[in-house]
Amino acid sequence: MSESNTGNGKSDIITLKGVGKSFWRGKERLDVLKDLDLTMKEGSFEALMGPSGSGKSTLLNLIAGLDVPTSGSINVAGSELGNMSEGDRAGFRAANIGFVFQTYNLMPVLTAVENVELPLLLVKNMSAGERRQRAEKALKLVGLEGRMGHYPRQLSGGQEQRVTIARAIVTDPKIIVADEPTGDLDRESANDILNLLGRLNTELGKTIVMVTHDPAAAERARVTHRLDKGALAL
Amino acid sequence: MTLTGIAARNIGRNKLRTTITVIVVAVSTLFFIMLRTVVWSWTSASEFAKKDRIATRHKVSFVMQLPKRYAEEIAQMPGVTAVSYANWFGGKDPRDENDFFATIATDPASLLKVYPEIKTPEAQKEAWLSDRRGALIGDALAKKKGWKVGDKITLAGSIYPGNWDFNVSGIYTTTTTNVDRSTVWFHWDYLNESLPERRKDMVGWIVSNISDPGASGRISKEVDAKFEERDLQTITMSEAALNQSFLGMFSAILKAIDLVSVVMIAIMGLIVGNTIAMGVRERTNEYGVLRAIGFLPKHVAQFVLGEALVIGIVGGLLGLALGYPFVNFGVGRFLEENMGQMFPQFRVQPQIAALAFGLALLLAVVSAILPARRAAKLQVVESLRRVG
Repeated sequence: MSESNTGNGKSDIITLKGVGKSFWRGKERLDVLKDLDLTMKEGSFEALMGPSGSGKSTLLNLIAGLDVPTSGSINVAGSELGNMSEGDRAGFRAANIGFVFQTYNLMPVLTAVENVELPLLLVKNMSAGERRQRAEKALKLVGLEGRMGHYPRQLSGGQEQRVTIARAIVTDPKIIVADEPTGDLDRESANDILNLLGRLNTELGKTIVMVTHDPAAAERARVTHRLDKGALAL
Repeated sequence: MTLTGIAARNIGRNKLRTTITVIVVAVSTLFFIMLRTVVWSWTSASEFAKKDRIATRHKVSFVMQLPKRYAEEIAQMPGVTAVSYANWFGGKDPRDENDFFATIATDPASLLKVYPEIKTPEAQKEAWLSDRRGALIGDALAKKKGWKVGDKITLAGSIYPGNWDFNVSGIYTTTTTNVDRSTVWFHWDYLNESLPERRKDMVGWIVSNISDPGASGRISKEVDAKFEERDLQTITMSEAALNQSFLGMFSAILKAIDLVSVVMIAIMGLIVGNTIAMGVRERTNEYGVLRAIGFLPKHVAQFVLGEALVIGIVGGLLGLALGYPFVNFGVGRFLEENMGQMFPQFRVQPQIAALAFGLALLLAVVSAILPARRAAKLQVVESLRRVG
């Protein structure tokens, strides 16, 4: 079920038409997503909710270009993902998508600022100094200017998730996909993270697609899509 | 910050495992260097032989003897400038019969002419020449045994039974490494006069200096031809050829050492490969994140290979750092002093060190190819599901 407004007259940044995704478990075919149509406007903040196994993470993976649909078409930020090679999708993700994971997934051997700098290694012709400058700026944006030299083990869960968000925005992507970003956090830290995502949406105009089980988290989104058995629930 | 730099930091995550792997690489490199140096030193021993020296022995075997008069006859031949002779005595220190060193009966005056590389102070030389019970002892052996000039020593004969008393007349050093510094030389006359009549006046081998090193083949043939019609025939060859013929008896051992050195390095590769594979399994989730944020399979492979490369570099350098002093000042010094004829120069050769280091790097990287391919082929979504 879709709620609230969908983007104040802006153009569609994500368009799914007749998307299906199937997996094979031995000889058994599992249809995780079925003939799904969905659009998201540029600058929107949308949540995907649904019970376990409903296909919300699979949908998020397709939108992020991590996977390709079995049928149908997906157009994200002007790119037709279904036709892209693995290498092209990697380039698409580097340029357009910022990732926020439930378990943070920071590299433990790198400091906060180095973790944020990591995606910039893929940017050609960027000097080490510029990379560091941009990483520091991203960390300031998430309020971690005092923790730049800290390793992940020296940070709290909420701080680690902020570093992940800084890493997600350092390349200035159009879209941020967040898979259960508050799933491992206490309520206070979760609120901080949701506030931060909200600011990225309202102040920086980032399109945010968030998978969540948490109704409180979903309330922060301007649009909530509910999935059930691989289809959008009406 | 570079991908290889991050890979280098990654290997520090499991310090114990990395340390053990680096030690394995270092020890393998060290033993590779040592074994290859054994082969090199052994096979190059003939190059250190004096070119103007030929040796004559019984045609059938080293252990059969020749009449001493053969030496006198060889000395009269054209092109021969000096001749000496010797018998293998087989003496042992009664205090430690398992401690091997060469004990050789010889004619002192001619020995020092034929082997000018044996050096001893003039007074000690005179003392040795004038004392029939005198012994000239290599400095390495004297140091090991604590023997000094003027000491009286007793050796137990194995080929010539009984206890034999000697006066330590002198301590010798050598100017080249092809003569070992752990031999007891003593008067052949002292041995000969103690033997029963039927064993008298026989020598084990004859060594001759020749005026023209290029004529060693011709003179050797002439020597053997001279004794061809006698009861006891000879075989004569250059010192280099003698060393090579001796080496031929050990060719199987050399091949085995070669093989062992290669097997050791291969085992090292398997251990490194296993360490890298364990790291890849543990970091699957991180590789998934890297792929998600835009890194390509080749970047992930670079991470994995970078880890192996760093292990190879650190282990290889440590192996070299340990290998040089261990071989040059430990094993090498011992072998040169005690087995100088077989190992005249036992030192790490730059080409062996370079080969060992190169192999350490190459095998570390090769062993990581399989884990690297696996890591590169991981499906992003599948990798992200795994918790490290």
